[in-house]
Amino acid sequence: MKILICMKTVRFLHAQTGSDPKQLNIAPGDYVEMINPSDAAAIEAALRIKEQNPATEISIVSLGGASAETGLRRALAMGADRVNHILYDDCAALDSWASAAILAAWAQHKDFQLILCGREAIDSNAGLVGPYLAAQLAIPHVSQIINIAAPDSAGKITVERRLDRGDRETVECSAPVLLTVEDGINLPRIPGLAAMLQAGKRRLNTLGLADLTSAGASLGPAANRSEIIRLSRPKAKRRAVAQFNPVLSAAERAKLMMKGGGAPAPRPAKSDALLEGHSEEVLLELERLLQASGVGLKSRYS
Amino acid sequence: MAGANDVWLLLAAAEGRLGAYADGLMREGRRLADALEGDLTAILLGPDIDRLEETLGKFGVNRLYHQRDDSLADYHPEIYTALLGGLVQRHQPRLFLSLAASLGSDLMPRLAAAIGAPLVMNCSNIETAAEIEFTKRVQSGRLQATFTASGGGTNLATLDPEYLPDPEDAKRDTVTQRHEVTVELATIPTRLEITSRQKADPKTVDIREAEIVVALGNGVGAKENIAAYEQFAELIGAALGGSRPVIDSGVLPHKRQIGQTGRSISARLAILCGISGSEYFTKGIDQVATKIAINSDRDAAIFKHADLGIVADVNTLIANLTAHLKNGAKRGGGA
Ligand SMILES: Cc1cc2nc3c(=O)[nH]c(=O)nc-3n(C[C@H](O)[C@H](O)[C@H](O)COP(=O)(O)OP(=O)(O)OC[C@H]3O[C@@H](n4cnc5c(N)ncnc54)[C@H](O)[C@@H]3O)c2cc1C
Repeated sequence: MKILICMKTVRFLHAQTGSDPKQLNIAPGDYVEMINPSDAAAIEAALRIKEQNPATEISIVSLGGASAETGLRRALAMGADRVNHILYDDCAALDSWASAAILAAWAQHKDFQLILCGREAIDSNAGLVGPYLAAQLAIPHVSQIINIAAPDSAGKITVERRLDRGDRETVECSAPVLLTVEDGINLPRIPGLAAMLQAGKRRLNTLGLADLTSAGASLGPAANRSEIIRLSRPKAKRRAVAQFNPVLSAAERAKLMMKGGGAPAPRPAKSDALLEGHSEEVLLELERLLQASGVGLKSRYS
Repeated sequence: MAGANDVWLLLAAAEGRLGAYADGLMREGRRLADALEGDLTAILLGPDIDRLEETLGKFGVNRLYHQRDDSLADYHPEIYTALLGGLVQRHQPRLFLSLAASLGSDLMPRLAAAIGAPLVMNCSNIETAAEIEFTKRVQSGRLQATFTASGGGTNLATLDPEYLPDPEDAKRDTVTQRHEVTVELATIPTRLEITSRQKADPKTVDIREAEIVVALGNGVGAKENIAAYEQFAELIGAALGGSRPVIDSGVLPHKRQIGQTGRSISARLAILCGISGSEYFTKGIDQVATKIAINSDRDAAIFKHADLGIVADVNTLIANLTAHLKNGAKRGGGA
């Protein structure tokens, strides 16, 4: 069986040590480059299938600039059989659809039975390249994978998915299929020094967009469907808690809430949001917060 | 009639009522429809819900498309994509929104590919300026990015429930018009077969994945007190976790320990009972959306981490709260 893993070397912002707020406090050294964690989980999952089915061939493809090479060599050292580098320096200018189009142009007609992608890249957090690639290759896709049973002789693949609230689902499908796997489902192996040194000497299969032919539109940013117009500091999450006004008693607050909130006031420091005792008002406030957090005790629409 | 400035949303239902965050989704949809000067349309697939139009009318929903088919109660990616893709292509709304929960995160990329529409996942905000601007967190939350979509037509987005507006009384009196959809489901080709679904049991679910957690600390006291917390947790569908001393006392298994040497939880709601708020513990609750702390010591460090703090004897409070919620459930109505 031929397995393909689409791997991204992410440029992950792990700290903000810069002093200039206009630059969002980003200093050049705040970025680390690494294999995207859920992609590493996908590689590990493929290696485990190969351990059970030695006839498996594992290929990796990575779309990225020169820095993608480090990740590809690491994948080789982990045990991948073939690695392919689609060299493109301006990946930041590509959206998920355009990236998937390039990967699809490369992967089509190569007869991969199983294509694995990570659930999302930890730098762009889009989670779209996998599903878009499946659509462009016109093969089925199953998401949120936590377990893959090695395909049986008839090519049937059984996978387990993670749903909300810890629920699970089992899905069967036939190859070829694309699976997007969750982060943290396994511990990706750490290659030994000897394997790393050996991988360092291997020749990578490097190609450019000009080497690819696509059936549809031109490859590159022209295929984009969205663009980033600005980056900013993240906004605080909505607060489910009532606007605490320390001047009001719990009873007054509770009444205000029953009437629909009252005027939004800036939220004070967390420790100010203190109620005392176990009166009816406190219980009502708790009930309201439970409901706001989606606790499904009873319908609030009836 | 449907118009090119309309906002559509996909509602989810479970056990005969609308799913969690449906009101926040409708409120957000109404806000955007007002800004775009369009109508708001909701779609529901699966069994009907009691007095649905009445509820939707209060949130300002103008139209409901409903396919009343029991088999749609369970999400099937290919069937949902075909059904919704057909509807969206026929009516061409400006925006099509869903929650960024498991269903929406799986469905929306399929729909986007099927109808050739742009999609932004996990939005924290959508604003209508000259163009529609979609904002979401990137770099795993360190930054946020604002997107615009190329071309006109329908834009798709999933909404992060943590950023939806607070629930409050819905006061509109829109008359919601119902349209029954009757797509022949058997004709939709499927390549995926869902062979089984396993519902998580809060008692056995991995605490890292639990939606609601009741965390017990030393302040809960003697082992005999635990039964009341088990009952409370069962009532609200929560998983029980604990601080280290509680785990060490053997009341809960080690895999239920929260904290630096235990597990990190990412629940939607955690109720922290009799926990002092040591840093070793709070490391494990960073990712929790809403935290309620109950402690008899007004100066307890845990209150600094809490969205709501209650100074009270925790055993009494939980007993009273359990009784209060049970009564409320019996009353069967809103508070
Ligand atoms: C290396 C290391 C690693 C550690 N890792 C962890 C870890 O992973 N997880 C963890 O939890 N701890 C960990 N600890 C231990 C940690 O430092 C604290 O000791 C522990 O978290 C305290 O647990 P607690 O809050 O339940 O208990 P306490 O600190 O004893 O607090 C009990 C609280 O309950 C309140 N209380 C008492 N009676 C009542 C009542 N009737 N009603 C309401 N409130 C009441 C008290 O006011 C007090 O605030 C670690 C410690 C070390 C040194």
